[in-house]
This record gives sequence, C-alpha cells and structure tokens, in this order.
Amino acid sequence: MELLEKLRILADSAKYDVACTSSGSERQGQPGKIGNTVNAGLCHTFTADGRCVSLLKVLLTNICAYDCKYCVNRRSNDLPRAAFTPRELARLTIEFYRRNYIEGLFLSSAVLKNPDYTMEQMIHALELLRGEYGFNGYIHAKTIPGADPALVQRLGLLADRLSVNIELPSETSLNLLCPDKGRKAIFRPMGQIARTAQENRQELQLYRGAPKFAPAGQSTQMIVGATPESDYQILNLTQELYKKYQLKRVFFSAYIPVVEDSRLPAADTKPPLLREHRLYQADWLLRYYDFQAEEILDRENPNFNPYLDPKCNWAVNHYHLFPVDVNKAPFEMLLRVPGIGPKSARRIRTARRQQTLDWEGLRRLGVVLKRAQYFITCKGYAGPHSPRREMVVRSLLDPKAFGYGSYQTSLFEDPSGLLGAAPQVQQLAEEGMAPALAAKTVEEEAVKCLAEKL
Amino acid sequence: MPGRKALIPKDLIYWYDGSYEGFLCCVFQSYQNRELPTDIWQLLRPETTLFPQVEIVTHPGQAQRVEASIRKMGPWIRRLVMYAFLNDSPDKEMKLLRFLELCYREGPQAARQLAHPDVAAVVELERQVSRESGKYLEVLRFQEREGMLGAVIRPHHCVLPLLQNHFCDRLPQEDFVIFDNSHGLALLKRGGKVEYLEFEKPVILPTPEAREKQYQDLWKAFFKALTIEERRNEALQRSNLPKRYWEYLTEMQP
Repeated sequence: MELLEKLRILADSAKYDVACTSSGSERQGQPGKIGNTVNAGLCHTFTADGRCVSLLKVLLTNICAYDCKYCVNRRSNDLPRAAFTPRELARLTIEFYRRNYIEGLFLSSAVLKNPDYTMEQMIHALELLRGEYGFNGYIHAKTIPGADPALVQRLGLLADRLSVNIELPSETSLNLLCPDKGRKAIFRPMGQIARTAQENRQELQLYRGAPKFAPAGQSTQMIVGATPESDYQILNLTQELYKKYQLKRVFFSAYIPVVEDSRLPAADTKPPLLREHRLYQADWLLRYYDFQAEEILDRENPNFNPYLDPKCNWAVNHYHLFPVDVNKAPFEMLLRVPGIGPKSARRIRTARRQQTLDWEGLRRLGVVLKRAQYFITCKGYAGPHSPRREMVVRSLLDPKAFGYGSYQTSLFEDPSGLLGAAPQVQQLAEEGMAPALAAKTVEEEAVKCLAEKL
Repeated sequence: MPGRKALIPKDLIYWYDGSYEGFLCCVFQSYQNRELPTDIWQLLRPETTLFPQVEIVTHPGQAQRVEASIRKMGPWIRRLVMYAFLNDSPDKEMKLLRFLELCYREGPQAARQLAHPDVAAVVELERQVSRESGKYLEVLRFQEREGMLGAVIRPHHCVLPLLQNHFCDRLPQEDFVIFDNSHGLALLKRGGKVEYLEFEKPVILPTPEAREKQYQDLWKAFFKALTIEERRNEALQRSNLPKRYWEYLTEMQP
C-alpha cells in the first residue's frame, strides 16, 4: 500500500481522539538531534471543524482484536485496514517536523493481537524515532489497557505525555459498551503512571540527569452523550481524576454515532457539542479558577444550564455576594466576577498595588465590562443604578447557545451555527421554525426565566 | 535614574534612522535637552509641518548608556521596550518615550501601573508583537530545496528576531532562511552562523522539487483526513486561524 493511503487511513482512524496538545514539557534543543519542546505547547494549524492540530496524530495500526461498540475501529466494522512500519513512521515524523508542520507525534494504536504485543510495537517505533533519528520533540503515547506494567514503564521513558482513555464515565456503561476493557485495565496503568511520575520527580531532585518519565504528565478522555450519566457525575469524576491521579488534562468528546446498535443512541443523534463545550468550561473552572465541582453543579441541579456558561450560572445563583470592589476584593473573588478571567484578574492584582483602579483603568486592563459592570464597583463607580434584571441576564447569556459564532455571524447568515446551539433551539428549528426565530424565541424565554431566579 | 525631573513638552519633531540604537539616541537627546518632542519620525517625511525638525544622529556610545539605564530597571521593562519597538505602529516611539519618562521619573515600580495610560499603551504594543511572533512559531512553513529549508512570512510587525532562538534551538543541524516579505528582511542560518540580510523585491518560493512535493501532499492528505465532518465549523477555524495567515500555509494551498 502507498504511504499516502496508509496515512489517510490511520489518521482518519485516530481523529476521534481529541487530545492534541503539546504542552507541559520544556526541553531545549541538543546538538546532533532535532527538536525541542515549548511548555505552553504550539498549535500548528486548525482543521475545518475548528480543532487544533499540534501533533502527527496517527494509529500505528487500525487492525483491532477488540469490538468496542462505540469505536470506528472495532473488529466487526468493515473498514480499510493498514499499519505503519516503525521506519515509515519515524521518517514521516521527522520530515513533517523539519517543515514545522507539527510539534511531534501522537501515537496510539488499535489492539493488534493482544495489548502486550501492541505496546511492544509502539515502543519499538518510538525507540527508533528517539534513537536512530535523534528526535527530541514532543511525543504523546497512548497506553493500551491491559498491557504489562513493565511496558508502560518503558513507554513513559520515551514519551513526554502518556494517556489512558477511560472512554466512558461509569463502570456500568463501560461493561455495557466495551466488554473487552475492564475498569481495572484502565485505572491500574493510570495509578502506575501517577506513582512512577511522583517517584521520578524525587529522583530528579536527587540527580538532575535521571531519565525523565512522562515529564508532561498524563491525560485521559471520555465520550459524552453515548450513555446516561449526568453532567454532575462527569464533573465529579473529572475532579477526582485531577486529585487522585494528578492528571494534566481530562478531555471530553461529544458522541458521534458511528454505528447502529440497540445499546447506543440512535444513529441520527446530533453530537452534543454545547454540552461538551460546557464541560470544558467547567473543567477550566476546576483548573484555573479555583472552583470545586460541587459549586458548579449538585444533586438538585445535575446538568448544566444550556444558556449560561457555568461561571455566569454561579454568579446568577450567588448574586447576593455582588457587587465587589475591584480594589479590595480577594483574588479568588475577582476570578468569580463574570467578565474577569485569570489574565485580567492577575493584571488587576498587579496594578492595584500601585494605583487605585477606576472605570477607564479597568477598560485598559482588558476587563469585559459589558458583563462585569453589574458585579463590580471601583473608584468613581458605585455599581449599577438599580439595574433591570433582564439587562443583567441578557449580558450574561452565552451567544453560542443561540447560534452566534465567535465571528458574530447570526443564524440569518450561517445556519450551520445551529450545530453548537442549545438543544431547544435545534428542536424548534427541526419542527420547521426559521432558525433565527427559533433562537430569538428560546432566548426571550431564557431571559424571563433567569431574571426571575435573580 | 528614578527621581528624574519631568521632560518639558516642546514643539519639535525628531527624526532618526529607524534603528533601535537610533531610537535610544532620541531618548538620550530628549533627556540631554530636557524636552519632550511632539513626534518622532523614522527618516524625514516629505510632508510639511509647522514644527522644526531635528535630525538625531545615531551614536553607539549614547545608545549604550540609555540601554544600560533600561537594563538596570529590570527584565520586565527591558522586554516591554524591546518587543514594543518591533511593533510597526507609527507612534510607537512617542509611546515608548512617554513610558520611559514615567519609569525614569517614578522608578521601575511605575511600570506595574498597568492601568496607567502610558504603561497600557506600551503593554499593548508588546502584546501585539508577542502574539504575532508566537503565531508565526506555529504557522511558519518550511520548504526544502537542495537540502536547505526556506520559509516566507508576511507579518504586521518585525517579528523575525523573535523567531531566531526558537528555530535555531529546534533545528541545530539544519541550514535555513526565513524571508519577511513585509519588511524586506531575511534571517539566514548557515553552518551554525546567523545573519540578517535585506532584500528589495518580495520573495516567491519556487515550485517544489519532487521529494518536497511528496511531503507536501502527505501533509495535505493528513490535514484533510483529520476533519470530523459532523463537527464542521469553518467560522471557528477562521477565528482560531485568521485568513491572513493562510497565504503561505502549505495545507491551505489547493
């Protein structure tokens, strides 16, 4: 088979893996080798679905012994199959890397024969790339559930980041949809990676030249919308993964029907993109905004509000805590003001040590005053004069939920905006209402309902 | 330096050679004469003004003294000044001079008043430059020809010096050249040495050799295969990667 055809098949099979980050590792170039890594990671391009491409993301092979129901590569699916030789893969990585197409390699694989055999093949390919080809750039490798711990160890010494996908948010769902992978097979390597990484950090403190084990940590991903778990369950699991296994990232992937099966949602189900988006927003609140999962959702409200991002939703529910004085409020509280993100919060903190902030000053710092105005006071601004509740709510609504993209195009111009809109909007549109009218109707409804809550 | 007196505004226009040293000499001159000019030009402009124009000649010695005074105020201020100077904005010199005056007068702490108009202006200049140079670390594309790598970019700001370390560190074995078509400046790394060359006409990369073509096709095929059709969202693509970067992107060519 030609290399071009192979690449097409093995990239196509890998594309549902969402993680494509090259972050968490800072390594300088070395004479005689090729490559370095940048801590923040670099996104080299963006595909037509708007997702970033950072790494050459391919499977070593898509020939699979397993039959996981939700997966394109399952044994029973009729699909062209291919496999790279280690040398083909190494050469391709180097040639792409030299041209600055990519930051490195994301290597995953279907289960060829059995987990151990597959991992050995992956290790062989990475050893060739790191050794003979002198590749010093980023490598993200996926461990195969059920493989020997000794192989996970070897893989971690070659890769910057490791990942074990937990696939589905609960054990019941896992047993139902992928009977070949047990819960144990997933959490055991995750625990092993977390422990080894910790030991490795201690080793590195004692001896700087010690070989590094997965310096960019580990990540995981799960499919959202294939099974009945609530957002609260998913977010709690996410928080636990960060705390217990020190994961660097948890990725979510909106379920896209790839097969007709009685245990799965109907094949014409739309991917729950807005829900996925809300999960990522909540995930950011956990990682950068000092939120706890229980503050974002709880047993009574186990699912995200489709019209508000989770931070604005929190502010609506805690409206009595506002307004806060930007010149005095603790940093953690600044982070909770709608319209102030970590960057502007840090700028405010730096600036207010030197000067008293007024309205113009906040604007210069980059605070989104359209939202923040209802939640702050500053020098010369004592907060809004008895604001109409509808106005407050309207400023907080997430335009995405109503089909307004980041480009401020409305559904009049671009009906494809419906893809990421709230399910209620999609439903009205499906029933024959003009998309723009559907969006407006749902928006007014949401404003009324939220204003009452305030 | 802190505690210096304020400069007195004067109806004068400075003009200099456009180099960083030249600009530092403008700072020197304005302190020597205790004057704040109304504007600073790169080279003499043909337009007529009511104000007298003063040519500032570049003296390496003066530039060094100003450079030392900036260095003394810490890495944050030095970075702001150097990055902001690479900005293509026509009023960067005046913004920088006002910013430096503030720092000299009140001490380096003044630069932390991020909401101060003179600080915010320079921070914004710096932000634009580092954003663009950061983007070019990602979207620059090399082509191979006769064993050497070449790339063309067309940035708003003069980001080439900020790309140098990254690519030299990353590709120690390679010889490469990056042409900045907007500024007529090229970064050439050959045999472990780096030099900057000026050129007149915009560079057009030649049609690729067979082997190069093969890798370009592989990359395009990979790029295409990655799109998930059910999620197609070109507006999101454009907001993450504005069209002005597409000109030299291999994967965006037909």
